[in-house]
Amino acid sequence: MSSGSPPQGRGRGEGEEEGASSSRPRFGRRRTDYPSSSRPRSADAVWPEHFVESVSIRAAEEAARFAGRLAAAPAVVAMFQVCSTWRAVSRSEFLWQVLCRRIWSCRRRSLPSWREEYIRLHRTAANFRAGRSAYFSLLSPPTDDLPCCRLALSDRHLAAGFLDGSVRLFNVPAGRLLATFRADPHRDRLGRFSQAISGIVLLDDRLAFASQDGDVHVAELSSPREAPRRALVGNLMVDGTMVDFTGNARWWVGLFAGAPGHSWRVWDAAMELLIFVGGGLMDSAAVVGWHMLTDIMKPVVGRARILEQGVVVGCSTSSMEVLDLDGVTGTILNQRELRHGGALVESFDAGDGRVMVVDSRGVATVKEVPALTEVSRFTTLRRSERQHGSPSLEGCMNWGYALVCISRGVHVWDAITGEYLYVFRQRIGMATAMAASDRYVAAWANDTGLHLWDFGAL
Amino acid sequence: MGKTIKLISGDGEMFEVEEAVAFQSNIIKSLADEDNADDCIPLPRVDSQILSKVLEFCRKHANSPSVHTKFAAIPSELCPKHDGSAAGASSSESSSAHSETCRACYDAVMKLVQWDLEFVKVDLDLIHHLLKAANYLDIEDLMFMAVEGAANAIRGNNPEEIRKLFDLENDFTPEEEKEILKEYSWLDDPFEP
Repeated sequence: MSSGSPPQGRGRGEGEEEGASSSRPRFGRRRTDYPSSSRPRSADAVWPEHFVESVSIRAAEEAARFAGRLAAAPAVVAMFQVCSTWRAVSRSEFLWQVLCRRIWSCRRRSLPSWREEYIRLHRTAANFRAGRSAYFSLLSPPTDDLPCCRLALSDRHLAAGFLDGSVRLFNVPAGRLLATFRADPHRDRLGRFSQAISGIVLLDDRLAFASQDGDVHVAELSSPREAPRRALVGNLMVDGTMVDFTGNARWWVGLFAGAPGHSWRVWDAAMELLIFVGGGLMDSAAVVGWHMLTDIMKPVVGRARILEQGVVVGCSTSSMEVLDLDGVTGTILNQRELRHGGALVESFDAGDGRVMVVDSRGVATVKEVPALTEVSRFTTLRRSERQHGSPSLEGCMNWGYALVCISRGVHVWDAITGEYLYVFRQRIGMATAMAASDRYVAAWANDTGLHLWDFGAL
Repeated sequence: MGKTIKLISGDGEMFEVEEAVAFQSNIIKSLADEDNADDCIPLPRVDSQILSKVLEFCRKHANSPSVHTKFAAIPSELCPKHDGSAAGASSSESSSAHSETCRACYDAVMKLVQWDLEFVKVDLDLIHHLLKAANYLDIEDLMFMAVEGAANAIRGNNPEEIRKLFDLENDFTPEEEKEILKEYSWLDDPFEP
């Protein structure tokens, strides 16, 4: 602030006066070219409060786009430190609600105010970036040698699906076992592992779990002692093996191997009605698909993940495909052949409108859906590890971080920039199932059991 | 030239523009809908220099869908490549999915966005005038771009630099400044790079 200049206008929000402009507009010249004393000030030159609010939101979005989501808060706080009127904008719950939605894709508030919710989201993200978490061992090395093959996380629960067809439900963050759900043990079986869990859809009030034979059962979380209800009956001989199962409150999607041209089955989850059958993504894996009923197959032949924007992405060893659900169900929106020896399907996961997969060279790529444009890429394996035949790894991803478990640990990368961040302190061995949400990471390893990391802000 | 509208600026200058251009403003659109023998709309609160800049913006946006307020969703009927001859599914096809996979739409949107960003690379005085005009005339895209222009001007600046840009005074007491630092202490992360 130079001395000798006339009193400068405050950023007063109320009472903006509309009138003929008395200041001379200058086109294309920076303000600093003009000495401040030459500019007449009028009440007309104040910036309205809703403008400051809009600019603050925009500044936060720009900062997030250029420097990551953790840069959004400093950008908006800089606005609040300009003057007392601009600081008043920080009390707007609307501002924080918009920021929660635009920066963190968060539409539900778990804390009393949107401002507190934003702070929680920011601090959880900071914890992820810095590797600060609380660790829990939920199930120590199992004595009955029962491998877990699927994990699912929600705001309050973790569900683990096992090879014997059972699903165990834990609460998070406490990690207490709440229930064990089993489908009817007397129903028909074809092959030792036809009942193995192929996927879990975990919602707030219920969970749907599918087995390789195509049966889908629904359990109400509020009545954990009630037996789960069989919602769909699989038809193994006709449909083939259900290789993966994904969904949300609106759709259930099954990925099948064994019946050519019938890779995808889509159901309306509310009506439990089949609405689409088709697709050839798993055609080349038909024979392997049948073997999965009697053998614990490695590597995984196919994976499917549903995304918030109403599409599902499927990945086989040779290609990736985006299937429309919300528009014209069953339309293939995009397809991509995966080169370089193909994909390690067990590394495939989706989060926040993106998918990640690692190829057989150990190179991971994160792609935007549905355009499948590359967002970032990074190398997960050392050269020496790449030479040992088909590498074994498991991957998962949330809104901002990609995690890959290899024998020497769980490593974390920034999913958007591809920057390597750190490795988990706990060495769990080789994971065969992993899941990551905005706050938690869960992993199962046959040697060490079920693990949970909580990155929630303390 | 199609049907035109005559606009009179606050300082008495007359601008004649096509309807598609003028109707970017919801206010002008609703005023023109009323029975008006002269088709001449006075705009006393906007002077000619600002109005000509506003009309330059409107001219560029006249035959494009709103690219900013609807997140660049181009319905496939407007796609330059598909030209209305898209497959039968186009009417129910999700717009954003179309424009995200159609290269032609994507390029058209990007060009318009680039032009808009250049348009608002001006000093804050002009942005202020454009914002007031856009608010008064109810031109959504221009209001969005004025906010964008101001946010771009601010990018990376600390509070003192922002004050200089907007010509504002630091009216905090030292106690208030301490209070703010405490309020936002959650931003200080010892592990942040």
